Amino acid sequence: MMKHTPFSLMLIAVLAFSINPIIAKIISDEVSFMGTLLVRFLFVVLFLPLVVVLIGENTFSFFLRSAKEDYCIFLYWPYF
Amino acid sequence: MGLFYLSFNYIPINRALFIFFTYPIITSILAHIFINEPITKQDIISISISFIGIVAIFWKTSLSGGTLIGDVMVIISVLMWSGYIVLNRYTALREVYYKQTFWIFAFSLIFLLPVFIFTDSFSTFAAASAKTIFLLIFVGFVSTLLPYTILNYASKHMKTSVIGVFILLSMVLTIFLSFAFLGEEPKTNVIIGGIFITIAAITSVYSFDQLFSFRKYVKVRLKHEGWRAAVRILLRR
Repeated sequence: MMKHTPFSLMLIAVLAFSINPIIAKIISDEVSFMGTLLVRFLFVVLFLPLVVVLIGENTFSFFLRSAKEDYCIFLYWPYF
Repeated sequence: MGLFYLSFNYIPINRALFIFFTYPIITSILAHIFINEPITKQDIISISISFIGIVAIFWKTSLSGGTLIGDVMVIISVLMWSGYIVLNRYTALREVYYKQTFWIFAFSLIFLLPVFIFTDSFSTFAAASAKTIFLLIFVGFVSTLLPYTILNYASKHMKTSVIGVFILLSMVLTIFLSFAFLGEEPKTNVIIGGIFITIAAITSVYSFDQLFSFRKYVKVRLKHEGWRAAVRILLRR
């Protein structure tokens, strides 16, 4: 199996990013941009903890611990 | 992101996009100032090539019109987006990458929710067709969860300037995909710009010296082990 490196993974990420405007355009008649954005954010918040559980971490304590310890997380708001 | 899309109400979309796509330059400068990342000759070359690509894409496109407030909104959004990439790199070197992804989106969701409630309605989703629901789920997983987690992971291993130029590649791929799936034929200058951005992404990873010596190496491996080995070498960089 091919060993994935940050660069090959980044190419996958870039491809995944590029699909976004195409789908946004296809569904724009039915769902607004804000609606699409909300669903995207919601999916990450709901399903990432699931991925973390699959990895073997205790999600609740993991994210709560990170909230207490990582002062940096409060700087993430500019992304919005 | 919100500011960027809001700016479309004040200035032409082309002008907003043109200003926004200068973010690799801002990202490199911010990374140099805040996390002491050196700006090498290779970075300057790749960012310059990507800028030429952007200029080519917007060649002969009207960028005039609009109001100052629109420009200010885009400039702030460029600074925010660049700041996000730099911050990603800063925290990626210290934290677990999926932890970052979770908090970024949790914060974004908290801020977006009231805006959505005021400007939109949840009934939008109830009226959506099965195809749209499927595409929404697809966008949530494939086009959001996957790339942002990878981006956070890659930030630990890649320089900020390289990430900035790499993300520009998604624009080139979008142009290609919109041609393939939506039948939107790109203009010649857009194709030329896309080629420049692709070259910029390659040169951000490989210097010209590496590229020329590497070519001989790949050629030899290609001859003996076939194209699969050559692709493997290129991606393993």
